[in-house]
Order: sequence, then structure tokens, then C-alpha cells
Amino acid sequence: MGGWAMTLTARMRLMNGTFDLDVDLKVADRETVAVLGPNGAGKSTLLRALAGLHRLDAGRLVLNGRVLDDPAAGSFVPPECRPVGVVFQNLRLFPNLSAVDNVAFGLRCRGLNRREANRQAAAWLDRVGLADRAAARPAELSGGQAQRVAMARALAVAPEMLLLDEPLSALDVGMRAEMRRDLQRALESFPGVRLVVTHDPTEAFTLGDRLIILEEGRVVQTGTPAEVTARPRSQYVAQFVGINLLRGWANHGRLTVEGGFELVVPDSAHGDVWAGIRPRSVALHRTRPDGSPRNTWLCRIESLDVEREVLRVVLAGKPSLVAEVTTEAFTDLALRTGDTVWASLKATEIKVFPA
Amino acid sequence: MTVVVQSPATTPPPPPRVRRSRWLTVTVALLGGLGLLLFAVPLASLLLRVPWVDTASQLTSPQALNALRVSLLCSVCATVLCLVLGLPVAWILTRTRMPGRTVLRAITTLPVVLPPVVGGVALLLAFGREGVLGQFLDETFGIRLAFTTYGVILAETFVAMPFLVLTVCGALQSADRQLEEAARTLGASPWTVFRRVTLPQIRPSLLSGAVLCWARALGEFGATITFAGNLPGTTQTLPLAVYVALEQSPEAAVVLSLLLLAVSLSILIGLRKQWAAGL
Repeated sequence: MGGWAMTLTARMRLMNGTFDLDVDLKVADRETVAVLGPNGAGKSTLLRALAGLHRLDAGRLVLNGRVLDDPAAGSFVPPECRPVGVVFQNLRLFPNLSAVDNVAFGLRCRGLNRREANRQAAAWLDRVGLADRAAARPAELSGGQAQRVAMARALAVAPEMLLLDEPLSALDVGMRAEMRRDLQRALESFPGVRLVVTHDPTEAFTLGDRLIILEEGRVVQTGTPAEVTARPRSQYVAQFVGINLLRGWANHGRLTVEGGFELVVPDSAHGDVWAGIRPRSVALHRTRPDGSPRNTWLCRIESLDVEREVLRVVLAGKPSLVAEVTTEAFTDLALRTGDTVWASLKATEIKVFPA
Repeated sequence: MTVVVQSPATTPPPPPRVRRSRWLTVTVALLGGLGLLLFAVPLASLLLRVPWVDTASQLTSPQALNALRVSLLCSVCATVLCLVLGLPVAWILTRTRMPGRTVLRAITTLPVVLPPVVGGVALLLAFGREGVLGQFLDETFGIRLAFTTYGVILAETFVAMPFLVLTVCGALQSADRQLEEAARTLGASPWTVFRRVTLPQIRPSLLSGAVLCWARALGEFGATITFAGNLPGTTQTLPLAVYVALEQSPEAAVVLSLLLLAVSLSILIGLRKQWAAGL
């Protein structure tokens, strides 16, 4: 991390009734960190503390070298003075203001006159593809449109840190794929610290460069999506990471994955896609299997991880995946780390969805 | 609290009877009609007794005009005072964690149930010439409130303010705090948040509260006559003028009552269309 790069360094301790949060957090410039955890894990409290809506009881919050909260030193920057943009889960657009006035709100608060604020707000609406909806009230917008207005409103004030709270949960399932793509684009083009808070693993895995798993106010695991998938460190993580994600290009039932190899997949989506593969649908064999599985490839056992009676096997190959087998099956195959095995995967077991 | 539940009867309940609901309809209609008559008959009697021939001269008499002027001036001033002072009170009661808020809330709502005459006496003991504060104000600044037009405004504010405080408290409690938070993350100072986010939300309640205040102030009698007296031209409001006229010339009283009725009704109707949807 360079001296001038934007970073967030946070040591957060706070009590909220009987609940306490104790989290250390470091987010680098242009890195999207997804904080993932079940309901009640303290995600909202964490987000509120970063935004300044909740004071720390102890710890220290530093964004780009500027102390935002440090109870020991008696310093606290109120939310209106923090360079932080927030997109709330329920969006919280002002119902009495039009879309353009919603976006202009923050600009007006920063001292811009009405004309200039409206001009910039209109430009932002144009950027999110809503130039024709400028005069609409939030109640007249669709879920996806409201989401974009909220995003434009948060970005318009040029924050140094962008906080997203369950950005896709307010949308119906059909809208999510499209919105996820838009969000990804918006996040990638945002020059600063990006933090997504969510309870939805898919959201976290697709948006986050790095995951922070939060449970009962504590960080139980951090790492890239691949790392977390390979070695879940709690029951909660193990439950949802039953999935490998591959990014690739789908065309008529063939998926070309980054790294230049192909998988046979269901012919359900085309173009830029995610392929979700449950580890337990990856089978391991000593010899090349024949029969129904349409994807077979040779790989090396990188590492093993026991989670109850299930073994998670990290495979290095094309593709590199995590497989899940019972300890019994594993013993029967007499496999060890470093061994070479055949992996097989039915095309129908691969779930393909647009990226 | 314990709730005693009777054990269910062993016999099956009788089938519902249609006649019972008809009886209910008749009873409601009768009682409701009686209630409406209670309003309508006195108002109709008032209109019937108006000496239409003399009305113009009665209405333009100095006594009537003075009373109208005092009434309008004082009720409007009292309403403004209620807004300026009542809004912060409502804010303190709902949005701060000040200790003793429940007691404070009880005190501010007390004038609603307190007989206005008692309020007048209390005001006299506080702001009268011999009063705790009145003496200080008189000696230090030469300000006298009792038996002056200011006294009328103070008495009307005293009885009317609870209406505003209660209405606005309700609105502040139900206002969306999440929007206020969103505004703060966008860089709005607490004052901007109030002005641009909270105020638009509580505006309807604020306005209906103000209308209630004004109506209560316009009709004020007990506290005013006790604290401010009944001096034509300075403290004699329309209700007081009506009361006095009833002794000397009942016809004048009827005309003044009609005037009061007309002013109240026209303003209430006029406001109802624009703002006071809650009334």
C-alpha cells in the first residue's frame, strides 16, 4: 500500500445493548471488501459505525490518514463531515423529492447553489441511465431505478469510501443479475474504499475481492472467495460455501473458462457468466471414469480440510475446484495430499447465470 | 394485569339473530341523531334570533370592532408563540433523553384538562403585579402583563400550546428517523436535516396543530378574564364582549356570537381545504 493510497484502518469495539462488536478491519484502495454474516452478526452496527451513525466505545477509525473516530483521544467526526457515501438496504430516498433533487441533496449540503447542484445531479442520473426519470418521485420508480438513484445520490458527493448495505436484497430475483452487473461496474469505477455488507453469499462472492465473515460481532474468517470456499472456518460458512464459482464465456453449452479450457455446461445462458458448482457434485476417481459425467479432468490434491464427516478437497487443475467427499469414500480411495486424481462433474450439476 | 376468562359454556351458542343487528342500527341512529341535534339546535336558534335589520349597525359598533381586533390580533400572536415555543418543547419531549421527560410531558398537557379559570389564577400568581415573575418584570423592565393585551396573548398561549405540543409530538415520533440518518450521511447538518427532511414530514401535523391552537385561543374566556380582565379596546376579546353584551343588550350578544361563529367557521373551512386534512 502506497503512502498516498486511500485506505481504511479500523479497530472497532462497541456495545449495543447486550450485543458487542469487536472487529479489526483494513481495506485497501480500490479493493471491494464484502462483509458477510448471518442476521444479527453485527453487520449493520459495523456499517453504522463507519458512517458515523454509531459512536465507537473503543478503538480507532482512520480513513486516508484522517481520524474519524477515536474515543480514547476524544475525537469524533460526525456523519455529515465524513467523506463517506452510503447506499442503505431500504435505499431511504426522500419521498417528497424528485429523483434529481434526491441526488442534488448532498451537493446542496456541500454548499453548491441550486443550479449547479441540479446540473451535476442530472449528469449523475444520466450516467446511471435515468436521465428521463429525473422528475419522478421515488414512489414512481421501479426497484432497480430507485436503486440506481440511491447509488447516484451516494456517489454524487464524491466520497472517499462507499458503503453498500445489502445492495441487491431489495430487488426481486429477476432484477438481481442485471443489477449485480451494474453494481460491479459502479464499484470497479469508484476510486476509493469500497465495502459491501450483506447476508447473501452470492452477493458477497460476486461483488467482493475479499470477504470478511462476521459472526456474533467477531470476524471468524477473512480471505478471497476462493480461500474462504476452500477452507470454511465455521458451520455458517460451510453451509453456504458449498459452491465453487468460475467466471467464463458460455456459448451453446460450452463454457470457456479463464485459463483457456472448456467445460460442458447446460445450454441456459450465453456470454459472460458465472458458473456455480457444488463441491459435493465433484466426484474423485483413481482411474479415468467413463460413462455419464461429461466433464473429466486430471488434477492434483492441493490440501485437505475436515469439516465433521465431510472432507473438503482442494484440487489444482483445469479447473481448480473444491470437492467434497465423505471421509469413508476418501479412505476407500486411499488419497493423500499431492496425489493425482481424476475429477468428474456432470454438466447438469453446473449452474450457469449471467455475470 | 390479570384477565379473568370465563370458562366456555357447555351448550353450543345460539345461531346469530338478524334482529339484533337491526336494533343496533336503530340505537346508533337514535343516539347519533340526538348528538347532532345537540349541535344543530343551539346554532340554529342563534341564527334565528339574529336581528338582521340591526346587524350591520351592531357589527360596525366600536365595541364589536374593537373586540374583533383584539380577538384576531391576540389569537394570531398566541398561535405564532405556540409554534415558536411549542415546536422546541415537542422536540425535547420526543428526541432527547432528558431526564424527567414524562413529568414534563404531563405538565405541558395539563392545561388541556385544567379549568381555564384555574389557569388564569395561576398566571396571575406568576405574572401578576404581586406575582413571582410579574414583580421582577415590572420593577426591572417596567413590563406589565396582567390586565394588558400582552396578558391576553399569554393567557391564550397558555391554554392553546398543549394542542400544538401533543400534535407535533405524535408527528415527531412517527417521522422516519432513517431518512434523517440518510440525510446526515449526505452531509446535512442537524439544522438542514430538520429543515429539509423532518419538517416536510411533520408539516401536516404542525399545521393542523396550529389551527387547533388558533381555534382554542380564539374561543378563550376563563383564563383571559381572570388574568387580563375585560377592558374594552385592550383586553376585551369577542367571547368576553358576548358575555358582557348578554347582560345589557341580548341582541348585540347574538350579533357578536354570529361574528365569532363566522370568523371561526370561515377560517377552519378555508384551512381545511389546504392543509388541515387531519381535522
